[in-house]
Amino acid sequence: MGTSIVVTSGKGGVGKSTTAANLGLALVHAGKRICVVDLDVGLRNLDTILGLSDRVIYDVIDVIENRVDVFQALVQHPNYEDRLYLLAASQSATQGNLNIERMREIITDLKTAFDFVILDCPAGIERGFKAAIAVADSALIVTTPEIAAVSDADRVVGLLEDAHLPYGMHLVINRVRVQMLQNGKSMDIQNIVDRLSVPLIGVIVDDDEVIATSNKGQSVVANQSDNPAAVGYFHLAHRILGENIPLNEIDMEKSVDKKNGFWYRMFHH
Amino acid sequence: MKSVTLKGKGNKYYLEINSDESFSQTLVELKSLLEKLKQTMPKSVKKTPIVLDTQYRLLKDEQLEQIQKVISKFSIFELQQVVSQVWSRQKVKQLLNRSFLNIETRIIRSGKVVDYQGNLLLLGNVHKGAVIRAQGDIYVAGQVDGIIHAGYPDNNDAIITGNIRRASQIRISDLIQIVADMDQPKLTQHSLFYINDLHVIAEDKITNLHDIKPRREITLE
Repeated sequence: MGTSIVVTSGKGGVGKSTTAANLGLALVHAGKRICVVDLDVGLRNLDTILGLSDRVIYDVIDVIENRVDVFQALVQHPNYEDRLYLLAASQSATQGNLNIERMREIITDLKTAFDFVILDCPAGIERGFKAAIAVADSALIVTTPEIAAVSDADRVVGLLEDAHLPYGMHLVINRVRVQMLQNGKSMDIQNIVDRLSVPLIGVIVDDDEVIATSNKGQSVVANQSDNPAAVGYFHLAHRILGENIPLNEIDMEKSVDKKNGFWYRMFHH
Repeated sequence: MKSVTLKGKGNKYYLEINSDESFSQTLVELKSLLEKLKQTMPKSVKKTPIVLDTQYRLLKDEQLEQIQKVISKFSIFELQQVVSQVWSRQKVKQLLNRSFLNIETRIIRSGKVVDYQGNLLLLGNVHKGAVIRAQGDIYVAGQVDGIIHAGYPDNNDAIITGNIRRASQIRISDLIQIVADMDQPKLTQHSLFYINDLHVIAEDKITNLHDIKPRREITLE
């Protein structure tokens, strides 16, 4: 049985979909079978980031409303044999169509077939967010080193604590600009971790190539594996798989709290 | 004037109902006509197919049912077809729509699904994530990045012509083709797509359209 991970943030534009896509690809590179599910109903874009938008025929609402079987609705990525699949969001439906009971059945079905089911959550804390956390085993909270993003993340952490996910939550700090950090103009990583008090599992530096590759329907992880942002995604993936990789993306001492991390327990017992 | 006449034209039998006579009179005369026939006919003969011609009148469903009942009671004829000199407005509208040419000049943006009755000449652009669907053919002259669906939902005779190289998918009737999986250099503004005998979307040149799918006119029955 696989594990479902929701990628969430509260605030929009911090890189949820980019993180979901690159994490998915990094896990595929690590040999896992992955299904990414776009829950951003109405404004889908995970399909575009993965370069699969031309191949979408059915979407998650078609599955929820029983017009098509879930495995028939999956879009296979042509470059990764049968290791990477997407369940696309609907453009015409609204988040109100996300029936939580059906979502549970669908995600359970997917977990039997995949190692990880990555759920790309819509911005906000409305129906789409609630549906996503209702079916998640664990959460990745994505934030950027900005006060607005961190405050929204704090709100989301509170809601996730109430949801009591079986494997808890971890923090990913995205779009970290090393230079701003060095000259003290950016929020300090340690401050963000302290403020949210959620174990840190990934730091992704801001790199032009993330957007540049995504514009071509590709990704840094697939195309430029030595890119600093790609390294961040690979480390994130390997930490999720339970490897003890120090959080030294930007020379930090802080590492994931090993004893409390579910990833550690899951793969080391 | 008689209200019911039995005629033979070509290799078919016709039962003509005079549209100037009342319907109740017609039923009475039909009964007596069939009764007379029955007496002169040998007993064990196969039922003969017959066409009912209602001339300048359209029968309501219940009237048709009554006639059908009388015909089957005598088991001489089997009603095969009902024809008339007139059509209902609804049917005319349907037929006109089928051959109507819509001209779309707008930009269809992401997330929009636009339906057309009849055929479509696409002069505008279809952005990625948008879908246009026509009951009939789609002739592409604009720029398509989204999905075009001809013969929606189940018209296998529909075709798509034009440059669809940048489109995500082309769909005809119940079939879907992902353009990225096609032989890209072969796709030009002269391309023609249709459903072949194996019920697969096939590709050819517009110049061969006439041989591949002769366009059917509206035929008068």
